[in-house]
Amino acid sequence: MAHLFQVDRVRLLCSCGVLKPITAIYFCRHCLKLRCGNCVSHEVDTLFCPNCLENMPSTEARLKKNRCANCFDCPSCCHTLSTRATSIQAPSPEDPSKTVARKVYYLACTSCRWTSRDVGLKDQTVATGGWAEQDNEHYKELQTLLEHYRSLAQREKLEKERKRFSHRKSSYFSMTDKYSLPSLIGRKSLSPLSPYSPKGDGSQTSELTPSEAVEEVEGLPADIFTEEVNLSSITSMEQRMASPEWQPEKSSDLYPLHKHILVKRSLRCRHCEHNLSKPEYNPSSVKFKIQLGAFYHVPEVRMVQQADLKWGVETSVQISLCNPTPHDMTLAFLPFVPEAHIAAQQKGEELGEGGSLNTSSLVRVVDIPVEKTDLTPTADVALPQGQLILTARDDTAEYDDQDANSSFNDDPQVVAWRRANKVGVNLLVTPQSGAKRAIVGFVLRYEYTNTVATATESRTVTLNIPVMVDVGPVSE
Amino acid sequence: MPLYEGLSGIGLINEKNTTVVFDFGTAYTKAGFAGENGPRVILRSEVKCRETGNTVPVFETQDKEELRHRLVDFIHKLYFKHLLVNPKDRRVVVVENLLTPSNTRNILAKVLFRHYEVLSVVFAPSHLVALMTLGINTGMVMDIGYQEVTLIPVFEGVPILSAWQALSLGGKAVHSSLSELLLDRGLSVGEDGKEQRLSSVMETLPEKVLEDIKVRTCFVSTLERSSKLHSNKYDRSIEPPPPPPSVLYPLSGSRNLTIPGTVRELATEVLFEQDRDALSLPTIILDSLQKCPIDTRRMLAENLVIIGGTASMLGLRHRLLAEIRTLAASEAFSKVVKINSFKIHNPPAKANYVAWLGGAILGGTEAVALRTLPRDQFLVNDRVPDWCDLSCNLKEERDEKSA
Repeated sequence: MAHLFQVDRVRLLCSCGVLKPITAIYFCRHCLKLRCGNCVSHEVDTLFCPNCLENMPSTEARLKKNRCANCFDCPSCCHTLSTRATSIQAPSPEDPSKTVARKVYYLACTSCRWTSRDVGLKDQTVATGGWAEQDNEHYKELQTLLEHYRSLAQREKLEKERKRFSHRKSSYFSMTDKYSLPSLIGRKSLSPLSPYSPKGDGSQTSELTPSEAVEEVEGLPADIFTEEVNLSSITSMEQRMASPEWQPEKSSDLYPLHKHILVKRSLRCRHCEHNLSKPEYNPSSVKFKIQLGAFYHVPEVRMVQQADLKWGVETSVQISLCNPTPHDMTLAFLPFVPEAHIAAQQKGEELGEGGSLNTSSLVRVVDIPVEKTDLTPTADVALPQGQLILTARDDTAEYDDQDANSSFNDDPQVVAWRRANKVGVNLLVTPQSGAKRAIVGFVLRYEYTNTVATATESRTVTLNIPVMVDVGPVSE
Repeated sequence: MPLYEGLSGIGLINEKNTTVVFDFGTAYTKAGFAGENGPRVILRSEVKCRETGNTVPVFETQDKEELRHRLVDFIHKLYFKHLLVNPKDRRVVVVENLLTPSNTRNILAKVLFRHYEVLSVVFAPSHLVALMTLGINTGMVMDIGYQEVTLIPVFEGVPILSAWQALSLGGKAVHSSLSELLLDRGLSVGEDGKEQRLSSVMETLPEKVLEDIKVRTCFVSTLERSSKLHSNKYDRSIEPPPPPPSVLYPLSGSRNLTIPGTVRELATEVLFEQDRDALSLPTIILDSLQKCPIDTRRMLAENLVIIGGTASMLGLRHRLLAEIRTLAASEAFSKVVKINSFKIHNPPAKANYVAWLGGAILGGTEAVALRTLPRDQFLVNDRVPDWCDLSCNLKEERDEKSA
């Protein structure tokens, strides 16, 4: 237990070639392989607002541009804004000569003291909503541009299809095709000459008035050479980028930002398309519906005690093995040869491509590039021979004082202790001279009891998992 | 002809699988959806390094594997923190510079196709699509970014590649000039009010502080003032114009920094000072004009488009116009480029996302399905067809495609 918080000391080699601690690895029950965040496909599962913890359907999120309608962020410091109520004296609607107290609401930041009143936003009479949205000043212009180019693209597509039948080749098109886009723009000027130009469509494209260039642009403000700069009245880069469409330059132009929503992700194995992790729908729940973490399926290796290591001196190092599955497990240590493993990985990949056709004929698996990781050990290790048996996990065992040692014929040289589903094993590590840290590698071979109900396959499978252990610093 | 293509064509625009538009920049990355009026997010191109856990810029690495890892992490962040959509089986438009190194482009395509399994990618040339936001076909497009400034004239929708110009002037150059000036002239004010030279307190200023100082206090001076300041360097008898007021800028802790007015004004001068090859922002525009066919020059000069983050610096476009006009009338250029009318466009967007907006317009049309690199085609030889690669521009191959 010495290294509970140093998960990086013991790392497993994922099927994609990355070394990761067991907490960052998944085990696909269907492919029977290790997967990690690098080699699974991530998906957006549910969208929710982190402030009001309200779920948002994806269509609504699309319309609202991934922002919550009711919660706001401070445009100045990005902290959540809170609604404040105050009462003001306003003329009564029935009798204008009298005044009545009315409740009004404004937004205030509890962190930097920014309020919506600072920037001249009117107080609201309702507690939630009612804040006017900012509009893009070029909205109309951009819509006509989009319409124009859409009709151009449409026309181009029609032309292309006609050309496909007529097999006509024009030198003009092949010349402009080179830069992927120009013919799209270039054709606009040529289209009246083209014999295929649609006749009735002209009205739509003529709507567009191209932008006019100007002789002069706005120069510096006249007072810039004399006016003192008030830093707090000019926004920082973060404040500008928080609203990319407007990018306010003065603090007085800041506008409350709708809170950006967050997602819960689900993970899927690329090869068999089964879910490896799926969160619960409820935003406030931190549990999972499916969670195939490796720590539920792969025997966990931990360092027990830090040993003093010296160059070239054989030292006994104790590790513990823990069986997380509810089935007994037979386990053996094999030497780890990085070169052989890499070769096998590449071979397996070739096989895998052929194999994936069998499992799913429609979906072609797109492989990610194999990662190159440094797998050279810096210490030699003498691995215990023979097999060990790890008993199944039993939640009640904790309350038992019974000693289970008797029932196993363990070699006392190898097995240091045995407790419920855990076993302590001694390894003899000889650090290579010159190494700063002793890193040993071995392959964990174990009998895995298949939990997926398939009639054709046998229940237990033998799996090999390469493990790299950082045994610790080495001294001379 | 596929029978149902019409349906999918309509679907592209309105359906839920909206095309995603990216504009990756060295300093800031713009991301959003096609057909929208502005990007959803503009964020620093930075990721956490997998090994060290430090925040590192995505594109500043030479190692291919390293760049791939960073891009994987960065695009993951874009999709699941900001865009909140599934990348799988969705089209992507990447707005990129025509001068992007092929390596970077291939790695980006590999990440998008292999790691995120996108349906197709359109690599849209940024200079070209920037013109789409204006509805014009001809323009001299100058992109002043962080790392460099690139200039490509576009005539009737065709980039005149022989006349491209690039200089390593941009945000980064301004930062290093600002840092140099501040270390030389800036005064650090401690808690006790004692003033010290900044260089005696710290050796470098962090990049983020420099950017903040640049954005909030610096500006591009006018041509008259600049030339007066310049001549003052050689001839002390010429009175320099009175400097703008200095600014007290809070540094970390209880330390303040006095930024002299001259620094505020001079930091951006680096963009206009001619280097050893006599190149600067205004000269490359005229150089490029000179390389363009003679009958396109007038139209190009009357359609200047300045985009990129650095272009939004206060007073930059004004100064640039003034400089070009003076230069064009000067001896060096008046004989070769006989043009005296220069006009500039005002794009309907902030300068730093004009190219993105062009990509979004392109992505909102059916062109995104026609001019695209589909996943299957990429997976065959793991390479993006490149305009500068002869093997991708064989005559027969292209004719087959167009046939």
